[in-house]
Amino acid sequence: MSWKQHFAKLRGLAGRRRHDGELDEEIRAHLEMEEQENQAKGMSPEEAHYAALRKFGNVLRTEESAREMWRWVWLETLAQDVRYGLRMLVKNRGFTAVAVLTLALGIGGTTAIFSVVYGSTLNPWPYKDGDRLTIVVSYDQKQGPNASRTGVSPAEFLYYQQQNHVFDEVIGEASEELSLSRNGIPEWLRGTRVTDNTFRVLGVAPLIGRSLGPEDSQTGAPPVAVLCNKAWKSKFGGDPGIVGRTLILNHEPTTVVGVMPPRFEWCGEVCLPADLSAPTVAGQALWFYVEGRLKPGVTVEQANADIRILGKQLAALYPKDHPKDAAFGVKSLTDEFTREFRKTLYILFGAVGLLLLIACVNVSNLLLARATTREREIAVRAALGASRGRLIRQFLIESLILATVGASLGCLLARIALGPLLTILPPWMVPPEAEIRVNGSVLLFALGSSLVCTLLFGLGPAILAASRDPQELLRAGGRGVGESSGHNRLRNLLVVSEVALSLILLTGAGMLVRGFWHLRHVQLGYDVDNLLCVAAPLPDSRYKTLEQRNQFHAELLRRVRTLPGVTSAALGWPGLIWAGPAPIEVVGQSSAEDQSAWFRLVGDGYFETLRIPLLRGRVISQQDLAQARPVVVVNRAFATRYFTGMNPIGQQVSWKAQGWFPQMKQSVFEVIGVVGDTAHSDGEGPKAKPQVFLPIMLMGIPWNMAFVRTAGDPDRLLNPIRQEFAAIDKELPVEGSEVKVEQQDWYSEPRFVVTMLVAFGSLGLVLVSVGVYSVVSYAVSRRTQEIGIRMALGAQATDMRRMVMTAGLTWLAIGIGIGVPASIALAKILQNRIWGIRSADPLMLLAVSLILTVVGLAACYFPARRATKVDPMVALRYE
Amino acid sequence: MPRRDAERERIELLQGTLDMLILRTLLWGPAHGHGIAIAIERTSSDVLKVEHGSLYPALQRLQQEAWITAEWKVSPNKRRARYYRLTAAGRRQLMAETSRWDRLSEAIARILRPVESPEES
Repeated sequence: MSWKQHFAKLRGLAGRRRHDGELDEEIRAHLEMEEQENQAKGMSPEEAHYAALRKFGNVLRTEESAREMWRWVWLETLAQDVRYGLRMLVKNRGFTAVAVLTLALGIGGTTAIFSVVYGSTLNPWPYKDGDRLTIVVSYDQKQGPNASRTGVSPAEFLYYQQQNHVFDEVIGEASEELSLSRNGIPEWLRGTRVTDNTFRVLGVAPLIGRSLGPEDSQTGAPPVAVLCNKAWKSKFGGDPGIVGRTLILNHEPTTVVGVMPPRFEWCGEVCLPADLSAPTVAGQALWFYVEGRLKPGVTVEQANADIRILGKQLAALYPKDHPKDAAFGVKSLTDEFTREFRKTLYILFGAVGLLLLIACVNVSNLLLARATTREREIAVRAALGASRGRLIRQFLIESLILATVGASLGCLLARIALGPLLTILPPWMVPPEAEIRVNGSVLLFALGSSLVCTLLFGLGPAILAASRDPQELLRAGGRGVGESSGHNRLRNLLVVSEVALSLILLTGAGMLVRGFWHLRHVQLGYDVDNLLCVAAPLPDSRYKTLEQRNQFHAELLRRVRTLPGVTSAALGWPGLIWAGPAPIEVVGQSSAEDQSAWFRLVGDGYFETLRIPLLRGRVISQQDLAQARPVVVVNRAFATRYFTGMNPIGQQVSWKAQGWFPQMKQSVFEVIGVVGDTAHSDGEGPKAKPQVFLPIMLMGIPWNMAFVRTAGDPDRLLNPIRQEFAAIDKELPVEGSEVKVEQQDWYSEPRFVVTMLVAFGSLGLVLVSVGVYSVVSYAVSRRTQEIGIRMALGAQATDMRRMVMTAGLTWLAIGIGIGVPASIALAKILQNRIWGIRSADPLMLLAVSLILTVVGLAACYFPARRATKVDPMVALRYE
Repeated sequence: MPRRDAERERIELLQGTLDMLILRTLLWGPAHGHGIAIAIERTSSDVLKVEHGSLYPALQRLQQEAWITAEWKVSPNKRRARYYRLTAAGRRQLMAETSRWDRLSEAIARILRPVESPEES
């Protein structure tokens, strides 16, 4: 069609009524002229009228096809179809309600999960071009690419900034522990010194005041700070008057110039400018983490190659600052912070996708059933000239209306569900900047999924319904034709797939629930009740030597142990949650493979305080510590692994990571005892691994961390303990928390996944029972006449019941038969990709199959019972 | 279900011919729908029977192609009627169609009477 024609049609659309009138008049004029001419030929007026009409042909049809010339007829018929579809859906309220609700559940669930996927992994950052931000990593190759990143000196930072070819901006930040003095009470603030371009590159505007600019990083510039939102709210009560006030940070008066908005987490609690020309801040060297923004079009791989070369040059320039096997590279910021959670989310997305499929299958079933009751209508429409394409379109439009209404309701559901969903979101897995809500992209996704759903559930029934022979249907008067075999086959296929899908979903949920249960019931090996962990840093400026530090430890322990309410207390480091491996060597067992063990530094009374049982030998005593004896306690797993078949007591273990504790003098330790296993986490849930416990007094760590067992509520002792710290050194910021509370985080991710999957699984079960019920009860209603005849001929009620139930149960059984191997296969794929899933165990499959069978039986039973209640006389007259 | 393809082809062939006949009729001057119908019948010596109704969709189409224009006028017998007039583009279209038609009928004639034609020439 040419643009001219389109234009004419557009005009036609506007002046459509006028146009119609003109055509009418024109045709009337034509007929009158013809009549006049006929009369002139000598016909009677009546004869002339009919002759003119005959000659003209079908007036209505002419008008219609003439109209087609100036209008988008398809658009009008589309509107017609939509109107008609709406009328049909309103008329069948029950059907519409069930279909829309089913779709709303499916689409709503998918949309909710998608908004989590979108907000937390696809677009988590508020920063400008956040998807192009990368982190530059350097690490010890021996520890693998997942080893923690090491910082670089200001000189190296400048080298990266000036010499790279792949970034258009390079920023750096160095974390600094700050002590904030207020009214003489020290508090601890996590500070970050940022390079002068940081705020410009990140492009986040401050909430109040200003952010930091290049002038703040000049040497001699007045010290300023920008508060992050959380610290502003928690430490300063969200007081806007804070801007312009002066805080004492690390003994230096610092002016607060601004407060950042909530979605800004780059700096911990407070941002300070970094002066790259000053070698040290308060006597400590700054170590920068480096981030680069990729130039447009540069891939992470290209950046990786470039930075690897720069890193090698740096390692050659500054050999002292790099381990011998230093490796360098670039990682995408998004990838680095969302990789773990993405795995979890994809599993959930798959599960909710199954739910959506089940919903589609259900609606498909409902449509099929309805199409058979609409046979007569379809036949009449076809006989009146509706083409097959038009009929299919009509059905698809009805489906589309269902899907869009379902999707709208689903978006609403997703919005409501996001509230509780966000509260169980695992805190460590999602970048804190992430904003998860139903936004434009999410709505677009919902729209797309409703279109896909329409095709999924609507196309099959539409084609089937439109392809029946109208003659046959009309002849039968709309009843008693029975089902076409196509209908039957599709319906049975749908039931089977529905059962199989839900079996997979339920098995997945079951496996995770079991995994979670195991996780919760891992023997921790220590008692977390009434256990407090308190910690304070020992700054180098005042606690330089091993002796100074040990003196502080001893004095603190002496004071805390005498506090009322304290049962026992001991030094220990690190905390109980996390653990990582350290390289060790069992003396006399040189082996090719690297030996390693998780390590903990402990003081006297550690095992008693944590209630870790001693199995052999003895534990580290006060004398050991006082005389600096090189002794070590190992756990059962260590003894089993390295000392099988021999007495572990008296063996020697050599510590291979001297660099970690520069003040450590000895490196070979004698095993004096074996204790029970304790479970800690290396990021994937609690477990027990070979472990060594070394005397803390030998290592000289710049920290004081103590575990305190209390008689009553541990929180009540927090303040008295703080006061004891302050009595020894009133400058130390002390942090303390209950171990039990901290440990909740361990379970947050598994709990999230399990909760979601159980929710999806239960929804799936409900949908399946609705589906099976509707199919069986529909089949019964179609067969009412047959059942009536059979019963009139003497069939028993039980026979009828059996007949109906057998039909339903056969397909149920086939569905289970397909679902079981599919679940096993799926479990194999997921095995070890996500915690908790090992393999689909037979007991679980049996249980799930049983649940499905019971639900299916119930769904078949009620229609079957109804069938037997049929009065033969009524049944024969049925319809 | 009725198959529509065959039907449509038939209609299109008819429409094309009808379009040409209408344009040709209007070459003599503006005319209204009834006049065009009568003229086609008369000039073809009543060989071509046009169903008058089929004229109006064709007239709409020709208007959209801008080959003809229409306006309301009063006919000689004092009736309001819609008069169609050939445009310059319509004239060009008629020329092109005519030569195309000539070639087509020549070709068909050659196929239908392959033996006679050489003898005649």
